[in-house]
Amino acid sequence: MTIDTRTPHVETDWSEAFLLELRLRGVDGRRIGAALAEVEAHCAESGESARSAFGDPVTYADDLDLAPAAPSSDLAREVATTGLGLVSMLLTLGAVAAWRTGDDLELTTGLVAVVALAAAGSALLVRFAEALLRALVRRWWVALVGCIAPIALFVAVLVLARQTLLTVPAVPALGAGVALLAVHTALALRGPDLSDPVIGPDEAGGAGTMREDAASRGLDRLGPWLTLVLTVVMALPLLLL
Amino acid sequence: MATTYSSETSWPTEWLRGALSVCVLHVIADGPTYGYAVASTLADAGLGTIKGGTLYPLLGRLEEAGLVSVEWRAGDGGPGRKFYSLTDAGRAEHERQAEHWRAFADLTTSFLDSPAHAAPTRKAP
Repeated sequence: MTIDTRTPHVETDWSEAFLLELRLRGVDGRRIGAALAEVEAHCAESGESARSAFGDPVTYADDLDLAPAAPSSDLAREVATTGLGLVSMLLTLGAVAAWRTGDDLELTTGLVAVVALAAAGSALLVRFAEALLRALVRRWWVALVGCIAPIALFVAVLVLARQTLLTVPAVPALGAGVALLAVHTALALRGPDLSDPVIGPDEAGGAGTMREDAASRGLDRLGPWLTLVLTVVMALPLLLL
Repeated sequence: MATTYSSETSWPTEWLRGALSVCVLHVIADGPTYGYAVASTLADAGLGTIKGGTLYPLLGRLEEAGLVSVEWRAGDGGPGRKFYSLTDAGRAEHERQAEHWRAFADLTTSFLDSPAHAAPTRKAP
């Protein structure tokens, strides 16, 4: 997939690397768009390539020294929303499984530990977002390990720590799970819009404005519904098998 | 015999680095202008080719310091241009830096025109 920033006089690999570096630095989309439009204007008029006029895109991004945008929302709210999403998902799935087998739902020490670990993990994710994103972008296996390791850890904790703390009848637990899912989805939908599109200055005639394809627009819209969708997808095999 | 300096002349980078800020302010003092035009004016004046990678970060620092104000204007057919103009603070800074540079250049010139015997000799360690 290539990124189209409507800068026809700038080499695509240069503008991509420049945009990525400014994104990683947390610079807001409008500033990125303006910086791209200025490079485009210079290259269009001078006939030079971006690499020969501006040098290495990462070094140029560093030299521009653009201030990162203020954090969009508070850490506590994000961690609370994530935690609520996970609790509602685990509760619903556990209740569905218990309901199918006619058992009560057992809340184990492992379950509590997984929720605590996930909350701590998401706080770390938000806190070290830039360093983590850099590692993800540079080395593909970091993404793979980053996805698999937490799931493996959670499964291990769930399997090993099975001491029952509380037993709840399946149907009320399912009701509570679904209600919490609804609350989580409502919170996520009403939360701040985290998308920060790269937009060039109005007078730049579209230069610096990133063209977004249908897939990324769709993903943006799916965001708040993700926990609900994942829960339904994971509950289906429990119901059908 | 006088030496002529064209836009092809390349001066030592560190000389340009010292003079660039005041020269850029001087170009903008003439009226609102944009990056490529600043680079062309400097090249035509014989100061050499100033790369975009050097010029735009400097313009950004001038903007950040409140010495220039910026305005995007639509280009005819081509992409829009970001115009820079001096603020009152920028005008004062231009005059201050220009005076400072002239004093430094005069001092350097008169020093180079006179024998350097007054300079203290350094002892070998």
